Amino acid sequence: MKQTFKILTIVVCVFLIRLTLSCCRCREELVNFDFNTILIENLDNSTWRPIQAHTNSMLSTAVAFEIHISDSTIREIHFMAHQRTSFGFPSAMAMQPCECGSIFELNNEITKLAILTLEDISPQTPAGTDITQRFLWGKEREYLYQPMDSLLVNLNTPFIAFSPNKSMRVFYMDTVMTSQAQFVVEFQYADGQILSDTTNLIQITQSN
Amino acid sequence: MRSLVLNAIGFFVLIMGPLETYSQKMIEDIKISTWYGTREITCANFPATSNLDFMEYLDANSEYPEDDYAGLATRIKFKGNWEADLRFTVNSGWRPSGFTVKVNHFPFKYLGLSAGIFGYPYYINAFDLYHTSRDLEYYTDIRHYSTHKQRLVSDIGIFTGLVIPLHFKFLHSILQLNGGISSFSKFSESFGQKRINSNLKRDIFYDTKNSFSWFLMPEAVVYIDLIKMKNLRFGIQTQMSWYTTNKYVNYQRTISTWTSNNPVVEQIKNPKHPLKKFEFNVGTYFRW
Repeated sequence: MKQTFKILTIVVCVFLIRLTLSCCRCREELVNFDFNTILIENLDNSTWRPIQAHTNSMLSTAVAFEIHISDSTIREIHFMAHQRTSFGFPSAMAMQPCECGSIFELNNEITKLAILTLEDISPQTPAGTDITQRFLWGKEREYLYQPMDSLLVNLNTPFIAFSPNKSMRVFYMDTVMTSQAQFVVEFQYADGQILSDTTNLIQITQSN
Repeated sequence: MRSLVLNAIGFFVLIMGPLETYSQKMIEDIKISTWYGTREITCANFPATSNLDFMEYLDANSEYPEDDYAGLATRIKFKGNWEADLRFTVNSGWRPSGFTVKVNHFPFKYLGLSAGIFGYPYYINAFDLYHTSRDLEYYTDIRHYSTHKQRLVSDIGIFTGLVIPLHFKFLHSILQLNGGISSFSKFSESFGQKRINSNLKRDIFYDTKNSFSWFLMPEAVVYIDLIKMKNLRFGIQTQMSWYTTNKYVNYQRTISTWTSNNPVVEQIKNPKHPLKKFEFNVGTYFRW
């Protein structure tokens, strides 16, 4: 009985070692890129959470956009990690194949993010005013907003993903007092290049 | 919780053997009792103020008997006029609804001293209604997506008091006048609000403090030995207790608007609410 127990213990240990070491391990490759494409979508933030807006109208106190930036020259990169092999029973291995992403790092650091208004939106904010600091962005897993300075840090930090794209939601803190608004968003690189896009012309409805 | 009670019963059964071994040396009397009873809790409410008062949402003042409960206790009488008393109670859903651990010493035949610790859980219900009814231009709590907040807090206290034992043949009574200090357990709650038709978001964070308050708790136990077989006695008992105190919940309130930078921090002191808890139960016991 004792011998049987010892043999069983050894067999189970071998099985467990095989099972544990058979989990995959990603060796993410470093991919350098630059954001070269930008798309700005309207957000409807009038209710309890922001959703994509399919019209060009917003409430005066709920002006918000989602900005998508990507490197269009790089498609999705998936690596299949090999399951580890070891001594032990070959049937003891992880069932799911391992898909690994890549580490994406910017070639050129983004040194400035600017949001300018193309229209007068209040007596204090005429057309051409840099209103970046009057915007905040929504970070994942954080309830409150974050200041725009932290967005630059976020964009310049290498990240693991299947493709080099980032999305960020930005929210205007002030009230737009005019009947329409339009903004330009500019990302300025360290080498002086600028990636920019303009929002649609937004029809503003005054909130009560 | 059912397993905890069963384990407690098992523990008592297990200790009966070893206790028997030592009983002749140290233990004069062991009493194990079970009972069934009701509690009634009343808590005075005050008009709403500009600050959330958690006491206004304490689960009390029901139109029906507040809480049916069952209990299990063991009392061990040691030589040298010392007693140890341990009680657990569970409510109708087998959830724990209190405990008391007490030590009595009788330097005199008809007068003793007691000291102990107790715990009792209270529910604080639907306190989100405070913000729902006041902050009409906001969604009350989009962070937790909750519409009915509930919180369980424990009232933990220590006490001391006088004990008057009265015994006449098969009739026994214990009168106690206990007094002490207790406090609700500390807790934190938050509300993630968003203004309707606006980008504005704010986070309201409540961090409560210890809320020590004095209390009085007179108790009365009457038990009758019905059957006596050698050293074993079986009987019935009834117990009553009155718990009266003034409870309050103070807290630090932190309001962060738009971002977590520059929060507004305030220390809030709320009024004291008279709180009374009356318990009554009947049951049976064995003692030897």
